[in-house]
Amino acid sequence: MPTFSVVQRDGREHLLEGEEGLSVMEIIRENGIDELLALCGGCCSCATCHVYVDAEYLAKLLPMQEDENDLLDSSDKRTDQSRLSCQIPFSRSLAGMQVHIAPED
Amino acid sequence: MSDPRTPPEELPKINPVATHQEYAEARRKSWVAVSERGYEVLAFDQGLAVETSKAVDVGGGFGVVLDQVGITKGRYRDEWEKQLICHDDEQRERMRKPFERLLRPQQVAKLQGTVRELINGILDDIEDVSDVDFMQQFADRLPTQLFCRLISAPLEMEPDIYRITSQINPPILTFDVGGIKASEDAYFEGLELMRGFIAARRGDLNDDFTSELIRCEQEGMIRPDEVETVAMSLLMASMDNTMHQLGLTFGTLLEDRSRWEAVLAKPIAAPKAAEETFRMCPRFTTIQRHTPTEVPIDNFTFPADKWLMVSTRACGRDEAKFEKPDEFRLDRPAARALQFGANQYSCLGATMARLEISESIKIIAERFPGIRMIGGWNYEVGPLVSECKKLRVALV
Repeated sequence: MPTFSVVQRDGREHLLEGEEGLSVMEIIRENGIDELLALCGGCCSCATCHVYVDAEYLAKLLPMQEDENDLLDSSDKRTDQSRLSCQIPFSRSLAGMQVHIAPED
Repeated sequence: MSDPRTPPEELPKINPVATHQEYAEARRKSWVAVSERGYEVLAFDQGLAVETSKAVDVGGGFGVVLDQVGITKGRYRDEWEKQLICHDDEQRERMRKPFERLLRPQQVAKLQGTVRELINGILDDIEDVSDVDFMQQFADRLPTQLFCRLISAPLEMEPDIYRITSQINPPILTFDVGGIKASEDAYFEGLELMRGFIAARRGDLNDDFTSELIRCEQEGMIRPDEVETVAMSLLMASMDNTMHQLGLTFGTLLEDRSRWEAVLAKPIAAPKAAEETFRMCPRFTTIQRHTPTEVPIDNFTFPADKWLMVSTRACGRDEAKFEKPDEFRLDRPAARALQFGANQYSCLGATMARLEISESIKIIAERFPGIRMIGGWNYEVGPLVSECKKLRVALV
């Protein structure tokens, strides 16, 4: 199964196996990392699953839709690497990716 | 599917408070139906398309509902007219800004610890865990205590705050004309209370909501008189809806043991469990929109100046979107909760409600995994909202 890694706010890194079709948010949460609140359950409505994605992988992601862009705009911590992890379906092409959980605003 | 030119008389007719079976039968003929109040949208994708369309508005807003319950003029109507939900213009946009600052998801996320502390405290207060009135002893208390905490009100005020908030909105949302006088009295009692909090806070700003509202005024975001208007919005809208959704959520989870077992098997999926209950049993049964001009949605064109009612109960059981829609499933693809609206008309307190409800699920699953319903539950479905009337549980 392909893997990616997630880095928590305190710097702890976890290597996670990702089931294709699940979102990166779902994989992170299913591995017990609840620092990522993901309050809306993954329907792109709350911006509490904000992550930073490796620059080299950004181009491999599905383009950002307007609603995700609007939600990210509400964060003071938005950068060029910001995405909502519920909007990143995991696939083999993302194997090796590293994401950081964005800091609290 | 309906032809774009289908005249209303050829669309299926539906009761605004229909059964799930009646919705399904109508939906097999068309995703749009008609009722005495306008067009009824019965399918999820089209419901979402209506809510996210930039071509629809809210037809002047909540004033339509106020008219129906007889709040047509006078000082109570004047007060309501200050609220953003009664506007569809730049005033609405301007009045949303302080809410967006107070309730933006990243701010709400910081309240997780506070919410958890309150939930645990409320559960600790329950003396007889074998017979619990879930609404009175839990659901009514959490949003009220959180409101008190957010405005730095002493917790001893919880009963008064609850009494006030539970009298203002419910008669209006349930079209209970007999309760309007009590609603008006409670509103003005609440207004005096909020004025007192604001005045006391002016010389002693801290990090509570009242202080943030005063800062919004100082920065020119809102006028001085609008500070109390926003404070009243929070008093009216931040509690009652969450209380009922808490009841509806736990009723839905506990009425079928396999649903609660699914939660226990994966408590970290509490936010998804909450969303699934919003789909199956939403507090808001209708999201009301209006067409200023002709609005095409999918293959149907709504005429100008008509009401579109997104039936969240019908859309949530749409077989085309949700496989076996009557089943509670945590592995469904995520889908927007239509009851929270979208765009400039979205519910500003949605993230707060989600936090309260998902943390309640998590903590009760941790502390009281054996919770069970005793004596059934009941809730009333109305044309605008559903109300949880009774839910008794044993926590152990």
